[in-house]
Amino acid sequence: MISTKTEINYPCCEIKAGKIILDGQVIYEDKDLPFPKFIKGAYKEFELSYPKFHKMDRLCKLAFVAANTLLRDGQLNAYAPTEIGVVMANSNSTLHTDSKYADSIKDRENYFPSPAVFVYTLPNIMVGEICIKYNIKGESVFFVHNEFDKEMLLEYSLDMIEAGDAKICLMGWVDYTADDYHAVLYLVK
Amino acid sequence: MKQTTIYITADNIISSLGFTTEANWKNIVSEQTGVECHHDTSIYPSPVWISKIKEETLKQASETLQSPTKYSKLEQLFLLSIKDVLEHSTIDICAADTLIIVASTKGNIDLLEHKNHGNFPKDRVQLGTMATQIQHYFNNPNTPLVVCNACISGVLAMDVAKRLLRKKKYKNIIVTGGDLVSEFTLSGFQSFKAMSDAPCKPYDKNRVGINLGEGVGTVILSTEKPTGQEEYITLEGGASSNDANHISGPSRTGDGLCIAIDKALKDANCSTNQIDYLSMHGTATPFNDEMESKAITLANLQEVPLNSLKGYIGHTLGAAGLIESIIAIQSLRNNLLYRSLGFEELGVPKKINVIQKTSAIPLQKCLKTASGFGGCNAAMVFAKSSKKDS
Repeated sequence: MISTKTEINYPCCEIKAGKIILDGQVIYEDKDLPFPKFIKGAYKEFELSYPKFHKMDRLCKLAFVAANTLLRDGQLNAYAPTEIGVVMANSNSTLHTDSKYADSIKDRENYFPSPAVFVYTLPNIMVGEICIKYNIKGESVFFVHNEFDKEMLLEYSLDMIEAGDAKICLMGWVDYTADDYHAVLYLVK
Repeated sequence: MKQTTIYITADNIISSLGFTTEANWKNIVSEQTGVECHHDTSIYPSPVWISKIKEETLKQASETLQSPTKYSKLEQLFLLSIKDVLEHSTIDICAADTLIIVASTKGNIDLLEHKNHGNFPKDRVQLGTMATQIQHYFNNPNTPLVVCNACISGVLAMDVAKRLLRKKKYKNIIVTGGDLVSEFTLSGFQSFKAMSDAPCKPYDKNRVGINLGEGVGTVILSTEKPTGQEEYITLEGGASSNDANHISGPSRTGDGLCIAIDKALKDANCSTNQIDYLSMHGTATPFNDEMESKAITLANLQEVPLNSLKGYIGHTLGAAGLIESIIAIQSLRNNLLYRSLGFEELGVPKKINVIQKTSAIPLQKCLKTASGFGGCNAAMVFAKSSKKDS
């Protein structure tokens, strides 16, 4: 029951299988490209011009483009930075970048740990990237669960709003693995 | 509106200083540190100052678990810690209104790829799967929540529990936080040049960085008042915030942490002059401690005595918020503030009141803070009240 309500009532951006879908409408599609090229194409198409984007790992790029699609028309302008909350989750944390980082320390003869990679081995970094871009200073939390429990995340976001700890909340799921990717973000009011 | 009262009814700490809260507390008040120089090339190519749980001690302790070899090192620590809190509590972990929340930054990262010698399935490195092992061990009926929010994970996990308890979704929530010292995190913090090549010195003029540590901290948070106790510890309120400034560096102004502190005090319906003590994050990196001194001053708490536990057991990442809160609660219970180990001369831009001598002082309320990568901050207020107060 709640899940139907969320899909109808809250603005939503979903990115999966080479498509960017805003409120049910496909607004960008390039199905045949591998993820890095697909997301770069979307970045160009939407004229994001945000140099930090190129430093981000794939998971952050996915979250960033989804957030931008949802927030690009100043949807947060009416809110003070501390009134905006973020509740996000995924199942694979940062495993894709963890593997990349682990490769850099596998061989003691060829040891090259990099801070630019290591920093992306925490999933709340994508929350941080979104907070920097949209000047969000409110409450935030990142959960890691095997399943996307939309009802739980929605309930948690609504509770934050009801308790007076936020007036609007960016809520959703952003997951990236070598084989698949999926982002779904809602703007809960 | 009067909020639901949340009681801390049992707690446990496992670190290099011991396998119970009492053992850790005893070592801390006698100013014993678990931070040592380790020359172990299996964990890092060069010598490192870290706080590590002895393998032999863990192995011995784990003999009390059912089929301990089925569990990874970190899972064993979680199980032992939860087992200990349950032995000091009357809650039913199998009840539908009991939930487990796990806080961790990297979980079973020591099982990733070439480090996993086929002893565990590949998916055990996933935090959700790790948490399910804990849930199933204790036959808890609810899917555990995992909070993965860098170094504020432990405090934030308690804040998540606070929300769920206030909504009356559960009667009891077991919040457990843990992380290991692994080559993954050691090399990562080293690459940031954030590690100290000696025991860390929070807030000191000569501080150069952190010592990593490993451990687990567990609390039972309950909406039911514990019976037969003269004094109660309560979680009064908490909050989080984001700096919106930099992903790997703290705010230069301290305003992000100050937002979390102000919100936590408001949530706890508490004024700054009611706070007797600050249990800080105090990692001993130059920028973190500088930021904290500014945040405390912005929040008008600069006179309040404060310390950092990092000199005793290092930075235990996802466990830090829980372990440090439990030790802060021990301070409330015992009216005793421990010396901020490693501190000699103030080396932060704002004048703050760092505790230089372990000493007795009457305590009622304390504030715990945490800050981490991703620009996140959290703060929480704990209070002690006696039977006659309520």
